[in-house]
Amino acid sequence: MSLLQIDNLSQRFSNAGQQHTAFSELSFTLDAGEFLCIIGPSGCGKTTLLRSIAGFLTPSSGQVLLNGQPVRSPGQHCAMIFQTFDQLFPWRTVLGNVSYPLLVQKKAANKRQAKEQAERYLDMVGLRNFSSYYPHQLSGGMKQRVAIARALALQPSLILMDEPFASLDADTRTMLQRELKRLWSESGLTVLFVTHSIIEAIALSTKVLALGAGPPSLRLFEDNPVQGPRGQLKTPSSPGYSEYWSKLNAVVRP
Amino acid sequence: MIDNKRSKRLKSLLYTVLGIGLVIGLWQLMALLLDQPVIFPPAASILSSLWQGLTDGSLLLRTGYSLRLILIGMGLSVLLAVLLSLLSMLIRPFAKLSHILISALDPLPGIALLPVAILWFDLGEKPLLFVMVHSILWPMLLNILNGFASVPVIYDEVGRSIGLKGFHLIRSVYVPASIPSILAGFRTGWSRAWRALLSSEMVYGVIGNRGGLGWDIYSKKVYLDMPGMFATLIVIMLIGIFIEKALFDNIERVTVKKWGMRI
Ligand SMILES: Nc1ncnc2c1ncn2[C@@H]1O[C@H](COP(=O)(O)OP(=O)(O)OP(=O)(O)O)[C@@H](O)[C@H]1O
Ligand SMILES: [Mg+2]
Repeated sequence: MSLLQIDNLSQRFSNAGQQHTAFSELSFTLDAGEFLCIIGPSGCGKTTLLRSIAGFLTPSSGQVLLNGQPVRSPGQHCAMIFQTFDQLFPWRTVLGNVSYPLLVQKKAANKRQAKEQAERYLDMVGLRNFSSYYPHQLSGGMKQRVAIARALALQPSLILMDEPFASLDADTRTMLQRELKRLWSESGLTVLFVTHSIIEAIALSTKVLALGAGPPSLRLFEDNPVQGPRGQLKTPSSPGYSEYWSKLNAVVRP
Repeated sequence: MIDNKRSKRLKSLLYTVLGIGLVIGLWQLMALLLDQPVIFPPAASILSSLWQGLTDGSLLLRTGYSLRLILIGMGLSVLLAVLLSLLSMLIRPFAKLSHILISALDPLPGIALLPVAILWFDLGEKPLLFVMVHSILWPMLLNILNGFASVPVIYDEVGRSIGLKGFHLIRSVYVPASIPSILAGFRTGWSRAWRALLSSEMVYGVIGNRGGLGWDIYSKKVYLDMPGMFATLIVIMLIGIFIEKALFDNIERVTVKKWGMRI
């Protein structure tokens, strides 16, 4: 059985009396350990898809199955990293933001253990020395790294990331992409990663879901054909890179 | 760093003292210019009346009595506000009810309820507390509910996605995220409590077992003791400043200011 199964999923909203379809009849399955990148133009429903999987939205039709069970409400089945920088609790320190969810989900027996686990993940994202800072004392990139540490520390079966690096400068972005790819390969996580960038999608993913702005036929769900050393980013020098770039570009910007 | 903080505090103390000095000076100037000591008493006679009231204990006793009532009134109101705001958050229809109660009852001046309260509870502290709780509760509840309603959606979603629900979500996300509004509610409640207590005593005399500061002003008025009335007003203002500086400022310092939240 696959980890995640999206079954004929549609999401419609009624905006000011008008029906608006974010996407319709989307189906795919994903096995554990995959790194799926979701790309597509603005407004094609990427965030909506992640929010459906996270359980924030009830499907208009179809269903989301995780380990065969329908997702009904947000909770511990997955960890979500949002598009915005303000997803840390400002009233908790960096350490508190990472360790508190561990206590909530009883993934640590006591505060001391939660603290130790949180410190390990803060170490991974290079923020151990900032444990006692409050979020407002961090830069945007550091905040996103704390959010990543918070999600990873929970060791969820599925991690949902909504353009987590979009508003970062190029250097920080590349650094975080490298870290994420390394962590993913070391931990056997399953990642759903939304991005606007075809380059980022090719560099990170094992599978790609491209949502076009046009009719559903323009969708594409396939293995990323560009190969690279495991745990490392794929670069333009990887074989097949430019062909695949052109193919995705045609789907995303027809 | 520490030196810097200390010098900042000293500075703010200095400004406070200077400000008070300035007000006293201006007052004295006005008194001299008007030269009508009965209706505009000179600063010195106000200060000496204040000193006398504090040293012979009469003013202190009444202050203590008023403060005690106000603390009980605040305590009861906080309990009720917490209860009602929790119910409003956990049970949707209850939120509607709370808002109807607030819009119906908040505009009713507490003093207008005093006759009813006296008929219900007889003389004593109960009608006073009833009027105070009425005056404190609704603005406090309104501030808390508004605070909860304006918590950014992202905190709610992050809270739910790490597995928080119901009461735990409110306690661990909604309460800290709305501390600025909750503090505003406490401030409003605090000043409403004074208004309710003083106006009740000034309209109805001693309602409680002894008289508080409202009664103090009322009885001084009978004897046209202008300096005494101003002395009592000064005590009330000093308590206000003290609570603002010692309580609210400190709470803000260790919460919203430390967390970099906008106030
Ligand atoms: N809560 C909502 N209510 C009504 N309409 C919504 C809601 N959320 C999303 N939509 C609509 O659904 C469509 C898809 O939105 P979504 O946020 O999923 O796009 P996106 O692919 O994430 O875009 P971007 O790349 O700009 O983040 C949009 O047209 C939007 O107007
Ligand atoms: Mg989006």
